[in-house]
Amino acid sequence: MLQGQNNGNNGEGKEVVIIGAGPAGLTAAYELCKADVQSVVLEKDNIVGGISRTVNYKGYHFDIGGHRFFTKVKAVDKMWREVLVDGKFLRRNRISRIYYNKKFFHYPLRATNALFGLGIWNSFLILLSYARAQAFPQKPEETFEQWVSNRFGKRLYRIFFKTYTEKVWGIPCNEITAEWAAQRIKGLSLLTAVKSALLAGQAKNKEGVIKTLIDAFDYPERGPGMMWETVADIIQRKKSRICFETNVEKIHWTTSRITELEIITRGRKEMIQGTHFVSSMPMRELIQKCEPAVPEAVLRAAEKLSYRDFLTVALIINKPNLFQDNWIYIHDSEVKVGRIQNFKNWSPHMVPDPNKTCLGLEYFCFEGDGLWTMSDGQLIELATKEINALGLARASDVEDGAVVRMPKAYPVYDSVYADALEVVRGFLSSIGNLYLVGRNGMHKYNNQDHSMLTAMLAVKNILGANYDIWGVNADQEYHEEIKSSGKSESDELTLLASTQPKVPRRKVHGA
Amino acid sequence: MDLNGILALTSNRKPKSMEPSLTPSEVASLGASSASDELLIQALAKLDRVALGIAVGILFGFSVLAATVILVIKGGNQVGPNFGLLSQYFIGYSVSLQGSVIGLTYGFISGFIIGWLMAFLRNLFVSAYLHAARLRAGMSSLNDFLDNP
Repeated sequence: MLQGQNNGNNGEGKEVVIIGAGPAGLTAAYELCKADVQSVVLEKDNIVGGISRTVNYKGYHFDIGGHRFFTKVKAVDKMWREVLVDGKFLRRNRISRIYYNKKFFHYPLRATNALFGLGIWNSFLILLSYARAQAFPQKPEETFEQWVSNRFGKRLYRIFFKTYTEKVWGIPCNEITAEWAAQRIKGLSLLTAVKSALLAGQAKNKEGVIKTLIDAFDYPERGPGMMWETVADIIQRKKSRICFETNVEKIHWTTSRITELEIITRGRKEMIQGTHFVSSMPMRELIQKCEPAVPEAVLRAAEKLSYRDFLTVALIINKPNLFQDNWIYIHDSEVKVGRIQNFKNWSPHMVPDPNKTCLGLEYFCFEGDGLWTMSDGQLIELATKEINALGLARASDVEDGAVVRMPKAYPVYDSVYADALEVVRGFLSSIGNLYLVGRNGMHKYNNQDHSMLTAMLAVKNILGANYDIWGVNADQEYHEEIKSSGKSESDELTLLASTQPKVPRRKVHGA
Repeated sequence: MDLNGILALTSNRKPKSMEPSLTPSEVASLGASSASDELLIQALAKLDRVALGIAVGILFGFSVLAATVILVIKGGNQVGPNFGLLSQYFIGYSVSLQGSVIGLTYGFISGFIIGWLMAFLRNLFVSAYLHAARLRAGMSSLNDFLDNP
């Protein structure tokens, strides 16, 4: 499976320590194995995969957030196919809807479904609101709310944007910058729009096949964790090590190098040395654990990096089928749940009993807030109450439940993050044998494939290349659709970078 | 304000006196990359209401003038009995040389109104179509918004 290929680079004498066994950390270890370089992976949890893990509760498997396997980069896709062979990937059709006002709407949106679902009067009001926004746009356009309202009208904004965006990010939409909206919502040009309207239905029959996450995606039989558990097996067979339940306590450094790490594994303290260190641990923690302490300004900057956290309440329901969707977005401010996954619809192998269904109710929160600090029992009770209120399942059918808390699920781009990140990056760039990878390692809202890419590039750099890992994601836009065509690897790396979503930035008052 | 005006306003571009449904700056910004793009842009170009009004007005006016003069030259016991019925609508018109001038005026005015209305309705339709296309394009840009909020 793995072939030792050094690509002319020298892997000899390299001892690599990798912090974190998520997609980035394990990809780094996997790529190093390919170059015949052994590594040690330090994982504070007792399971691999990071946020891309699959949790197993009494034989019910659930995925933290729902991870579709689709990438535009051959290198990443190639690795997935190398790791999971023999039909372990399932091709799944995507079905997802929005729950709003006690009704369901297809997502991606379909005009007729939306208009009929909202009712004639409401649709008329939406059109009026749209016309009003077109005739009298709000000026100046500074916030997410203003930006979206100006383009779609206030009513559509309230229906499809406000509630969910605020649930996910915990920031009122009138405090998120318009710039983020412009980055995230890129429309087609008018000419392209007209052409696609005129040629509707014909494009898919043409030469350029449209690959899209919107219609279908691949999914491992037992969720994304299956991928990372297999990678973990592969790298361990190649004599690399994964140390579970291992916390990095101190990072000893000199002016230009990390010398060793102080780790604690199940209460046992140990020092670990290496020639190169790959870190996917949250950047804030990395800085705070440096020994001797980093300059005060860097420490203060690191403290300004913040995160949005996430928890999933899995409910086991005594019904063979509840709904056909893979997931449903909940645009209802009456309930706290943001999204509901139906794991059985991702893969039938996720549920051990075909007569049962397992739903994942996802709550976006901040570590330490009211939701986060609720006990598991209280959270299961809340989720049961909400699933009943939404009419998706009866409370009496809920048999069991489990809670998974995922701290630091999303890096937050608030008004202070950019300056703080620059300071921290500036400092860390002086440490020559440290490579930052992954979502939290770089404080970047990377998807799974992008996290993998950063690790691939880091390994290339360890082996002698000189890629700018930070440069690949700058000022790009996000589109899930792309025509397949022959592209060079560097084009593809750039292309992958272009797939990474932006996260909102809070508006600075008075700015 | 008609829809084209609104369209221009939402594009943050001022409407021009000879504006097409796509304003010149919009046309320039479209960056047509092929002959078919050029054709599409031309097909969507806005008709000038006054220009079309004048063109149709001249056509109608001179048609009435020419028809009247031909009938007068042709002569006969009863000159242009059918054409003379135009006087039901064009008060003061008759199939005569003097009537031909009055017919020219009436023809021009009615032709102008018809041409102006044709241009107005056509522009309205194209604008509505463009608005729908723009809204649809806007909605399509939301296809991944919730997936990666």
